[in-house]
Amino acid sequence: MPKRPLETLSEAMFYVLMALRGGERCGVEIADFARQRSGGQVRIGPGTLYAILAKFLEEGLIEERAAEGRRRTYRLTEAGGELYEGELRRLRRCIADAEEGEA
Amino acid sequence: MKRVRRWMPYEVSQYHETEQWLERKAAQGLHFIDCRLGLAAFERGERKTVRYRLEFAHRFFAPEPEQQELYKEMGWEYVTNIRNDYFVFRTEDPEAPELHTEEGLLAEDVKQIYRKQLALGRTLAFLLPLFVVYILLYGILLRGPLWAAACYGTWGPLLLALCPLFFAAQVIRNVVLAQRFKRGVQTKRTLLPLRPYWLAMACLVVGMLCLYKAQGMLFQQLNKTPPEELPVPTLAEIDPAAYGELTEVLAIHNDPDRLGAYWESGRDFSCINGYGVRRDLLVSRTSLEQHYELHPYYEGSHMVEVEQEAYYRVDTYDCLTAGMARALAELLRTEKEDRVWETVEEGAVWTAEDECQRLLLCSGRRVWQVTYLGEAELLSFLPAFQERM
Repeated sequence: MPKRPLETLSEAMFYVLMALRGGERCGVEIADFARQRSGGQVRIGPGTLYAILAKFLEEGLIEERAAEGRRRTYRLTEAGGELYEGELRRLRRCIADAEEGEA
Repeated sequence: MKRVRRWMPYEVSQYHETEQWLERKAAQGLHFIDCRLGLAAFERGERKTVRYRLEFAHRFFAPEPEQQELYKEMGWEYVTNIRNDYFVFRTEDPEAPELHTEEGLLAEDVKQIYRKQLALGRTLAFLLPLFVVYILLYGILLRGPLWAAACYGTWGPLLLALCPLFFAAQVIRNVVLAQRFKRGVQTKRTLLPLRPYWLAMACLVVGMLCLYKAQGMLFQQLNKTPPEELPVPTLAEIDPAAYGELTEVLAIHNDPDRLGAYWESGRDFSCINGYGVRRDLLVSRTSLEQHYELHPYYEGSHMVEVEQEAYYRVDTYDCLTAGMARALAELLRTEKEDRVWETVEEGAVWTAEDECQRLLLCSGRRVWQVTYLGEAELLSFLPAFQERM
């Protein structure tokens, strides 16, 4: 059975894309970014991070860059950037809808 | 550091229990280092609070170096793999994030474990009928009594027959565990303390070894000396109390020329560590005391034409194993039989006695039955014999 392409992004996936939006980063830097940016609310475990990176690589959303020893850095591809922007718009719309409803 | 080994008490689907078990061991000062053939090895050390986490193994042997590096940077150290099902990671850092922080991705791994369990169950279910066919063919080919004799003579076939039963138990167990795993039921204990698969494999290995040994192959491999090449004992080495007074000893080595020449020499003969007659030969005693000839052998029973109104019939039985041959000879033995029945481990003793009614010789995987034919038996046997000739 062929694998389904990503339809929605999980919270951790979104933060990974967000981290790479700011430039090339290695795995630990991505996890640190997510933790700091979310004020400690989002913690990405190594297993989850590795699985997300593998999936993004497979989908062509990110690509590997220079490897320092065994440490690899990643950067966002055009497709990854589009997916991030699309998800951002979707989330903004959701929040806007929610706020409109509150008002 | 002293090493301690313990049986891994949980199945592949019970990974939470396995993690907790390893953590309890670490708290007792036993730190997990390896797992082979279901045996977990621990190194005795300081009592510590250690977190162990199992991750479904997507590849053989070990995680990719990049993965190990990433995990290490985030506080998790790779320990080993368990049965190539899981990679085991550990951390002593209480601040280290959990290995998996998203249930969705973990669920993918869980599904793979479930699929693996069912695949194993299906494989075993496929193997089971093959075993049954094997057992049936084994019984049919060896024709009833010998099948019984096989069970009587050696443990091999019996152990092999137990294999499918244990395999069946493993199939049921796998499917039950997979179903429970699918429903998210985590059991604290395994269903059975000893996995049926291990028992099946043990029966298979020991059963095959029994057969192998029984067939003399192991003996040959170990000693590099096939039974045919055993040294011929001298007369001085033979205990007369055990074998009677022997005038000469001959190792015939299935050599028809030597056999014929020897028999034609007209001496009484005894045979130790030899096989007496070859399968394609028939002993014909044209004189009870003096002269022996060789005739082409036919399948089944044969009559020996004898002068001086003495007739013997020779039946030859080939068995799969030496154990079966001994068992068959035991079955053939009757109360009326004269006591000319001897076996030794890798050869046979055949003492010629003029007055014997029946002589049973069991050597290796073959049994010979030489029967004196009285008038009644001769009349009943003669037509069949003439037809064959």
